[in-house]
Amino acid sequence: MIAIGAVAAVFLLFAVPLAYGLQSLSGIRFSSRSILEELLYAAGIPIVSIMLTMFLFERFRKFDLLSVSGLFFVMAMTSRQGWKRLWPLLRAALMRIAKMRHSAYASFFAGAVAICLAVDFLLAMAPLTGSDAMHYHFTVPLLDSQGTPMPALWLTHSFFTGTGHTLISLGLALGSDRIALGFIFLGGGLTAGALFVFARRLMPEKWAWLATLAFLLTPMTYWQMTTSGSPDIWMAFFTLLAILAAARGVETDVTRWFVLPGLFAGAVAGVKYTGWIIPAVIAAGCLLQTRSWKKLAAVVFSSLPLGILPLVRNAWMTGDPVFPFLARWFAPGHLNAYAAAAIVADTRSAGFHRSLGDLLAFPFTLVWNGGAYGVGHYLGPLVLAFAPLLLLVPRKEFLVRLAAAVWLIMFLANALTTQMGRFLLPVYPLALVLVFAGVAEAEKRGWRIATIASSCALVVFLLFGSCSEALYARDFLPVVFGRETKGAFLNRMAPDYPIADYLNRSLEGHKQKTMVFFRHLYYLRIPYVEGDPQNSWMMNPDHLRKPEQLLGLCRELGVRWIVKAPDYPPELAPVFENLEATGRIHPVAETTVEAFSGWRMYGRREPIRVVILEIAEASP
Amino acid sequence: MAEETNSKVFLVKTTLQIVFVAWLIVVNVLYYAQFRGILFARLGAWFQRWH
Repeated sequence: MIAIGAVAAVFLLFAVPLAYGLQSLSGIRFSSRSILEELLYAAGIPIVSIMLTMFLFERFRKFDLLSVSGLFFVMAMTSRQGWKRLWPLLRAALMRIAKMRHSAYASFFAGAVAICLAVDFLLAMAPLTGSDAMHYHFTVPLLDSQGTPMPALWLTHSFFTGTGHTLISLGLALGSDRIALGFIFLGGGLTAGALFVFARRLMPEKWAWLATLAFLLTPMTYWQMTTSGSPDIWMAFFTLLAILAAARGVETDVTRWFVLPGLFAGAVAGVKYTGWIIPAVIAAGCLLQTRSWKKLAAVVFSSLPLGILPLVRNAWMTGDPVFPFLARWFAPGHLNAYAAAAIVADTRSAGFHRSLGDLLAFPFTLVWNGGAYGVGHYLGPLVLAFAPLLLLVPRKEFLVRLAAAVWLIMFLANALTTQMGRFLLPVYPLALVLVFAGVAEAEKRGWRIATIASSCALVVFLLFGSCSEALYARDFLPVVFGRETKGAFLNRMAPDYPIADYLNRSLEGHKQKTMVFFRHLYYLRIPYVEGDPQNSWMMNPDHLRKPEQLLGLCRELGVRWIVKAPDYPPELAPVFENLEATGRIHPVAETTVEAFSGWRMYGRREPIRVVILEIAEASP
Repeated sequence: MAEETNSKVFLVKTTLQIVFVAWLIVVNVLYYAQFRGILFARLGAWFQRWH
């Protein structure tokens, strides 16, 4: 019932921004090539506006149900033309869908895509269990909504939250993390739509459907748009829209239409630091193609407002706009060299090497040994497998060249800086469409052996994707259908949940804070701070060598309890053990819980001893 | 002459396609091989549950 309620909420809510988007499009007299393309632009514009407004709301601590309702009310009331346009457009879209009945393959593919989306939606309605989401994607918006000032130095990753996280805040403000997950799913659904529109520009309908299906069945896609709880999938949507809009601008040569690619590219930059590559390449591409400074200015200035907001916030709070990556230079006085090194290590893959040989091997190792390269294998083998067919793709069109440039530069930047396959998600749809254009071209030119072999590889991948998603869904669907309780599900699937649940029960009602050293904080419902130096900028092992220094920091943070589960962080263990040995912190409760060991997908669990220690001087 | 050119083009095209098929096989085999760890872990967990 909760899932159905969330479905209704997301769809009803989405009508308002859609009408607002159509109103905005009519304002700049934008004409698109198809109904779907118009609907996608109409969805993109208000989401950009929502991100911008919500980010400012959050900064001024005005983020609640009332302010959100106010925003939606204003949108609904200022979209008269949009509402008028929305209904005929939806009717036309429905008629287009109805027409598909006449084509057997279109009905089949549309049905397959619909089934994928339905399964994805159900998966997205499971309670949150994504690791990064439980560490910061959802935790930071939740803390913010509860009045804890965010971002905060005691949770270093909180500075990584960008404008994409405002959609999570929006869902939470509307009353449920399911709605927030629904928005992430929506981002995935819209990305699939944008991918289809992009693919149709380069290939016949059959291949466009297959590309869309391959995208939806890619493990990276269904993971990111359903259970991961990360807003990164929105980057893929806005990247596609930015490229389509830039191509539309070049085709029509209307300067004001270049505002759209800028706006969408800025939205990509606002989600994650690495997203800045997208507006940079799109702006350069538009300049090279049009040789017009006016058009360049339109792209650049429209991308700035949304892209720059998280940078301004971080610079304001820490002195470093891309905190903590440039803290060494921008804020040397507050540098925590240990935490900075830990963050850099965290954003690099286990297999990261920058020798020429490793860089040349990266496109292959990413696919064949993805586990060591930021789960690169979740992107599937199709891009690498079909890559030779790229030579057949006609490169005359600006759309193709821009998409290829964005993909190539993002890939090179990734290879040089992080070698994390996961960070390639925003440009994965571009690569997929380009290689599918190669397959379609091979078929057009009568390369029968290549076409048949590619089709076989594709069928194998679609089967693999379907089976892996079915296996993956098996763990999540029982709770969505009400056959498992939320508590039992979280105990089974959410990392560190048993520890958080024990602490919630043991320390309920206390106002003083608890220092914890585990990573997955979302389900903690007691006041807390993160104490692991890897995750907390405040826990600088260089400044916490003496027990008095540590107690001083705990006093400053208002900490009364410390939780050891099962050990202290190695860098601070001697100091904590000293405090324990001298009786200045003493155990007050303990238990043993079962929790995940290593990656959840391997299913290994082990008993963990959880000890709550009280700071003697903090007890009343 | 034209026939000879056609047959050369055909030969080059076919060779290129066969090379491409070999490439596809290598990429796919190496790709799917890396999932054997997860497969065995899953099968192991399933086996433990039922025996």
